[in-house]
Amino acid sequence: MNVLEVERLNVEVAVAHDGPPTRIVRDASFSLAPGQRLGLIGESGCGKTTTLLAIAGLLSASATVGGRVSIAGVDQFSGIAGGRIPALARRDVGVVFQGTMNALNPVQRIGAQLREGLRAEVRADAQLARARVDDLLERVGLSPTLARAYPHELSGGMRQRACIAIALAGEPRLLLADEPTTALDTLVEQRIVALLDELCRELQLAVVLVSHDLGLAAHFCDEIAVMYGGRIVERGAAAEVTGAPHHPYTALLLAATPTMTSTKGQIVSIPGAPPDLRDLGSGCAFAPRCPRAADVCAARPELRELDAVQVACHRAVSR
Amino acid sequence: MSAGEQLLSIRNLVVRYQAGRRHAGAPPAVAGVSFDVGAGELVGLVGESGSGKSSIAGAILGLAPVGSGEVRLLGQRLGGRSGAAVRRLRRPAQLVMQDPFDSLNPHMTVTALVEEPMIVHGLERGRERRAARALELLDAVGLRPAHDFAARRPHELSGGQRQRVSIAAALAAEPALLIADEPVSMLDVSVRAGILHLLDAMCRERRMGILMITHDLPTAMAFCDRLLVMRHGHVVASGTPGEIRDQTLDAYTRELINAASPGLGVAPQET
Repeated sequence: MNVLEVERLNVEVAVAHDGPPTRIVRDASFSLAPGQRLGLIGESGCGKTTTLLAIAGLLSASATVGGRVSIAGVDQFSGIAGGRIPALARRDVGVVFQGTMNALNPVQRIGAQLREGLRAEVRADAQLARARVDDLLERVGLSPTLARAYPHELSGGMRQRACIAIALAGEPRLLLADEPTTALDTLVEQRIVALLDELCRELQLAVVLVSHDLGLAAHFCDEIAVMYGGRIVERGAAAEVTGAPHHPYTALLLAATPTMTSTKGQIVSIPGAPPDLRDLGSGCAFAPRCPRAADVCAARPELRELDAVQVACHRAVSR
Repeated sequence: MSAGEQLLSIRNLVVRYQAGRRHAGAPPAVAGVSFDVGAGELVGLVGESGSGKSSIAGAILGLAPVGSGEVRLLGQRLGGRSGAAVRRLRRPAQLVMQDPFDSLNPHMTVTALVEEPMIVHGLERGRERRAARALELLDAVGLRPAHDFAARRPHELSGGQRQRVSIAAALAAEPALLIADEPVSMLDVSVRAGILHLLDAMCRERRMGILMITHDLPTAMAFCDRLLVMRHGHVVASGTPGEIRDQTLDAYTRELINAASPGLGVAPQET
């Protein structure tokens, strides 16, 4: 059974309190089997974090959610206003955010924050809970003595390890990670990614990774979904999507990402800016910035199968 | 290049912060660093948090204490002066900061932000001449047509546009050396290249020297003429990007190289 099923997810948020609701996510669909990892990629404002928050049930009450999200076979939104997830289902989900200083409670010891995340039956047994906290800290490469530490006593990398331990405390089957390494130094990032990789493999965790870093997503994920204007515009195996992109947007994102062998002439920027989600029009949202746009792009392209990927572009051709 | 042509010359620079008695024995933030930046040269200072790269920028700009060693800007030794004399001496070095959301006064219009350095340094006298110069600079940094941007305030601009305003404001002081401290790390990858190509063009066309501080090795490799890799206050590797990539034996630098963009081994295809 799939750990996560997202079917035609739509999220609307009232941006101004008197304005009409704006649709931030449009018809996003994907599913993950145990151990499978999906990277959500795109510029700021393309809907990737909102997608993640909708799955986590962490959207504000002003958001309206449509479509279906099912975690470990439990439908998340059935009959619930605002897309809130019942506590029963939520423990199947662990979340890791970018800003560890905001994610952790500054006035609570790490151990106490870990205990909070344990399943109720474990937490009820003080001895078992203590052993489990020690075990979690060791698993993420921290000394169990750090259970007594406050967040400010830890370095950025150690805090992110503590956040990962907290995310794992409830024995989730799905891990949602929003830019988990963006605030970290290169080598610390490398170690945290290696840790996540090892833990996810060991625990057969399904992962949704939100990142602006195509290189990281290509390295860590099995599959990549590129989002633009609230929609998934290309989706497929990570190696396919980054190796031979079919959507012009994916190709440009890749060309904008320097690698160790890039020369400055190879690194391009994408002209223009991401679209205003309040006013998307009826055509392809990327057409105004697209070097391959043509008349046909006045109609919105649907996701279609092409070679080994799915792509929403009229101009994409088989390779 | 002879020593006389250097815009910036740093010799045995040590920066040590007063951190109270508890940290009396703490190592210096910068522990004896020497390098030069010439006209028309883009030099990268690469390292992780705490490596001392921003402290070097601070020492040039008078924002960090120079413990020993010397910093020369256009041949003039900095330090030991105060007030207007310092301002005059340091004007040739201007800073572009990391976060264009924080570094621009939200109440000021784009024109006012670009004109302020001219007023502070007494460069353009007269309202009209300043306004004309501001428009010229906005055009030069790619905010076109400039008069469309002139009356806007920072919140009406995208991140990339704000960073262009920061660069225009830095240019307004007519610097010989621009210090760009993580100029693109807060920006979306899609607009980074635009800012980097702009810095590159200023370097080549205006013969400006640029010291770019960054933790992003691939970007520094692609855009810098030379780079210095820093760790714990020391320079552990230096040279052209090719020399760093192919020849450096420093284990830490090799580790940084191997950690960079792990998933993208090959250069992406052209669109």
